[in-house]
Amino acid sequence: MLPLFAAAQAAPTPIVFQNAAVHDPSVIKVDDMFYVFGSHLAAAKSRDLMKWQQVSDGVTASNPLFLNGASNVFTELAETFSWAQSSTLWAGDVKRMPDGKFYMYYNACKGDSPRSALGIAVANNIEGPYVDKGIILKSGMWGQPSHDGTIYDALKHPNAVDPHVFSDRAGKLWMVYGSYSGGIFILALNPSTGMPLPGQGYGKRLMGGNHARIEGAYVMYSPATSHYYLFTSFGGLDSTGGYNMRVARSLNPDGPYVDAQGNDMAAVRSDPTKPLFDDASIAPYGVKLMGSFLFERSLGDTGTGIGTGYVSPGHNSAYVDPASGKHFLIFHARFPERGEQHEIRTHQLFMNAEGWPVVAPRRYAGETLGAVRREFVQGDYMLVNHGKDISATIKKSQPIALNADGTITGAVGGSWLLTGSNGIEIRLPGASPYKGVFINGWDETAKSPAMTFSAVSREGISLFGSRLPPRTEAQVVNAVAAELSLGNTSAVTANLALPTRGTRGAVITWTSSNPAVISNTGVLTSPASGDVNVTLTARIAKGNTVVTKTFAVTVRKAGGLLAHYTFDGNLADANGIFGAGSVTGNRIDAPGGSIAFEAGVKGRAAVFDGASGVRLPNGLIASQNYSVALWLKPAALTAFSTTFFGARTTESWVSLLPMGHGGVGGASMLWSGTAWYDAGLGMTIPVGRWSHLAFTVRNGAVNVYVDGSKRFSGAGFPNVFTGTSGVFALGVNWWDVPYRGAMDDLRIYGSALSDADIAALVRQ
Amino acid sequence: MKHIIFSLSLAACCASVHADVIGFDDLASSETAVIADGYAGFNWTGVGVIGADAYPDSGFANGVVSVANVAFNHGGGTVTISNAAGFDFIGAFFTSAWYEQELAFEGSRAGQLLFATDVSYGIDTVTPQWIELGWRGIDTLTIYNSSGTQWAMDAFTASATAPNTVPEPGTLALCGIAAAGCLAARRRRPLQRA
Repeated sequence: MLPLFAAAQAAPTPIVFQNAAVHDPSVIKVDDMFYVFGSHLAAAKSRDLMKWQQVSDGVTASNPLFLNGASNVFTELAETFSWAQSSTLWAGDVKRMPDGKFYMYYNACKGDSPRSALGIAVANNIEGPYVDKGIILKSGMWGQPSHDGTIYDALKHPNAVDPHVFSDRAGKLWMVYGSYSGGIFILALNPSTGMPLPGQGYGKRLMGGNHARIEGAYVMYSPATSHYYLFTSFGGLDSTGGYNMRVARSLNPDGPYVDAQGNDMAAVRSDPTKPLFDDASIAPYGVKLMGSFLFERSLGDTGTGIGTGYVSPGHNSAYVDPASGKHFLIFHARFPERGEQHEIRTHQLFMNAEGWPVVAPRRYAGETLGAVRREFVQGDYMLVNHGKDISATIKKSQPIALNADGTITGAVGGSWLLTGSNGIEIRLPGASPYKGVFINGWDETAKSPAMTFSAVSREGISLFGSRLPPRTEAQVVNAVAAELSLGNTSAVTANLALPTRGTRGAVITWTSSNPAVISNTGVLTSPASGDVNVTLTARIAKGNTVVTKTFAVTVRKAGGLLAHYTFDGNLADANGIFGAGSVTGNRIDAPGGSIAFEAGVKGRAAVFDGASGVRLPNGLIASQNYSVALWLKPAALTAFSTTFFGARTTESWVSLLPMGHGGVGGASMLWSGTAWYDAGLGMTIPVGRWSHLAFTVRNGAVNVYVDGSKRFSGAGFPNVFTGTSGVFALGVNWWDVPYRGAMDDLRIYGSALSDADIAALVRQ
Repeated sequence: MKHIIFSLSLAACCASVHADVIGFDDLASSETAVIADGYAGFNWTGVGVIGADAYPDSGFANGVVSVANVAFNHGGGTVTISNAAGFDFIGAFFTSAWYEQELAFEGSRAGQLLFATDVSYGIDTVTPQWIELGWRGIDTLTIYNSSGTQWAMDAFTASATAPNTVPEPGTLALCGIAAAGCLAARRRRPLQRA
C-alpha cells in the first residue's frame, strides 16, 4: 500500500487544516500557490489546499485587491455598482492571460432581480491592485434591448454574473456564466484580450432557464477522459436552500452537455407556468455529486461531536494538477448546526469506470489514490446516499457492512465488488450499478485515517461510504454503554430524550422502574408532590451481545423552583437539588477568576469583577418551559457581556445581556443564537442600581420583564434546552467580555411563570 | 543478556522448529537508516529500527516487547522480509505507531503466492498484538497496512528449518501458542532495560 499521507520516515506529517471563508471560490494556481476568489471580493491562498490564508474579504474601500493610491473598489467599479444598484460583488474569477497579467472577471447584481454588470479588471500581480477595463456584459435592462437585440426577458436571457473563464484544448477562450433567470450561457472570448468576440449576444445557452435555480457554472477539462465537465449548483445557497453540486459532460467546450443518462442539459429548465422556484422540473437531471450530508457520529464511535458533514455545499471550481493528475473540487460549505457560517473545502475528484466524476467523501488531506487490499475495504461503514433531490434535509449516514462474501447488509441490502486495484461497484435494488473508487481519507471526527468509497449511478445518484475500524459485537455494545449518558438527572421535570441507537446499528431499549412517572420511552408524568426516584435501565444490543446500564433519575414536580442561587456568601443551590456553582476565569471554560460577595437585595450578592464567571451545573434547564429571574446591578455596560448564559452547543444558546448589540440599539436584551432571536427590551438597565430581570419561555412563547414589567413578548423563541446536558454559566460565555457588576437571588423554574408570579418575585 | 534469555526461553517453547526471535535490540536506532540486508539472515525492504525513547507515548514506545528497539515500516509503507533459503514465519508483535490501523500479510516462495490473509488484523497504539500466522516454507513475507502510517514490530519469530521439512500441522500451532504464552508472560512482567 502506498503511504496515504506525505510521510517522514518514522512519523506521518501531522494533518493540519486552516480554514478561510470565501463564498463561491474560483481557483487559480500561480507558481506554487493556489488562490481562490469569490463573492464579496473575498480571496484566500494556500500551498497545499489544506491550510488557507485569507487574502481579502468584503467590498470595502480598504480591500487590497483594488486599493491603489486614491483609487479603491468603489471608485474603480463605480459604473458597475451604479448599474447593479448594489454595493457588493458576486462571484469573481481570475484568469492569467497571454500578456502575463491577471484578468479579474468581476460582477455585481441587484440581487432581487437579475440587473447585473460583468466586467474585467486587470492587475500585474495576482493580489492586485486590479484596474478596471470596463463592463463587458449587462443584464436586467427592463424594457430595453438586450445584448442580442431583443427586449430583455429574464425567463430566457441570462443574469450576467458568476463567470468562469477557461481555455479549451485548442486554445480558444470561453466564459460560462449565469444564475437562475434564463440559465447558464457560454460566450466565446478573444484569447488575447479576454473580451467577448463580437456578434454573439449573450452566447449559447447550455442549461437552465425560466428562473430555474441553477448557478455556479464551472468547466473542467479532464485529460483522463478527454471530456469537458460542466459543474453547476442546483438549489438555493443558504443553509435551508438545498444547494447541491451537479455535473454534466461534453466532448466540446460549448456543449451539448449531457448527464449520465444522456439527457441534454439544454432541455433542463423550470416550468414557467409554475410558481417560483420550480425545483421539481430540474431535480431529476445532472449527476448529483454532493448535497447536504453528515457522517453522523453515533454513540460509541471514536471522537466527539456530531460527526463531519456539510450543509448546502456548492458553487465549486476545479483544478487538475498536470504533474500528479489529481483532480480537485474546491467549493464552499456550510455545516450542520453552524448556521450560515461557511468555509472553503477541497476534495479530490476521481473518474469512475464510466468516466463520471466521484468526489472523495473526506476533505483533501494529501492522500493519493492507490491500490487497496480487500481486507482493508471490507467491514462496517457509514453510508450516505445523496439522492437526487433538491432539499434542505441533511442526508445522515446509515450503518452498513461490506461483507467478505460480497453482500451488503445493514440499513440497505445489496452487493459490492472490488474492481481493479481500487474500484468499487455497488448494486442496490432499484438502481443501476454505482461505480467509483475506494480512497483512504482523513476522518476529521475520529482524527485518524479511514477507508472511504465514493460511487455514482447512471441515474446520477452518489454514495459516500466511510469505514469504521473493526470491532467485535462486545466492543460495540461496551463502547455504546461507556458513552451513554442522560446528563444531569438529579431534578428532572420534563420528558427525557432516551437514545435508541448506538454505533453500527446497536439498539438501545429502556425499562423504567416506575413507568407511571417515566415511561419506557422517556415520557414524564409529573408527580403530584415531592420527588420520585426512578431507575432507568438501558439494554444495549448488537447481534446476540447485550449489556445493560442503569441510571438513577429524580423526578421533580413540574413547574416548581428548580434551583435557587442566593449568593449568600457562597455559590450553593439553596434549593438543595443542584450542585454549587464553580468560579471560572474570563471564559466559560477558562481557569482562574474570583467571585466576591457584598450586601445585596436579599442578604448578600455575588460580585463579578469583569474577568470572572460562575459555571453552574449542567442540565439546569431541560425543557421548552422554564423561567429565569435574577437581580442585577451592573458596574459597567459592555455590549454582548452576558449575565445568565445557557447553551446546548456553541451554536444554540440563550444569553441575557444588560447591554445588547447594535441591532437593538444597545438596549438590554434576551438573545439566542445562532438561529438568531433578538428580544430587545427598548431600555437599558442602569449602572450602579439594582434591577430585577426575568424571562419566561413556554414552547417558543417568550416574555422578558424588567422590575416586574413586561418589556418584550414574542413567539418562535428557539428550543435550546432539548436535553439534560445543557451548559450554564453566569457572567461568562465562550466569546465575550465578562460581566462586571453584582448579581443576586437567581431563581430557575421548570415552567413559564405568569406576569403576576414575576411581579411577586420583585416584591419579595 | 536479557534479550538472549528471552530468546532462549522462546526457543525452548518452540524447540521442535528452532524458532529464532529477532528483537532488533542489537541495531542502532535510526529514523532514516534501513536494516541492512543479511541482518539475522534476512533481507529487509522498507524496514528500519527505532528506539522506544524516540517518540514517548507513541506506538513505538508502547510496542517494545524485547528490551529497547522495534522495527518499523519506513514512511508508513509496505515492507518485505525475505530469505532466499526459505523460512517459516511464526509470528510477531505489532503495534501501530500513530493511529489505529490494520495489517494484512502475504507469504510467497519463488515469486509464487503461497499464503495470504483474508481478514485484517487490527492493531492499536497501546498494546502490542501478537499476530501468529505459522506460514511454512516461504521465502518472502510482505506486510501491508491499511492507513499508510507507521507500525512497530518486535519479537519477529521465524524458523530457520529447511522448508522441505513438513511439521505436523498441530506442531506449529502449538509452538505458536507456546510462543504467545511466553511472550504474554513477558508482557505482563516487563523486563528492565539492559
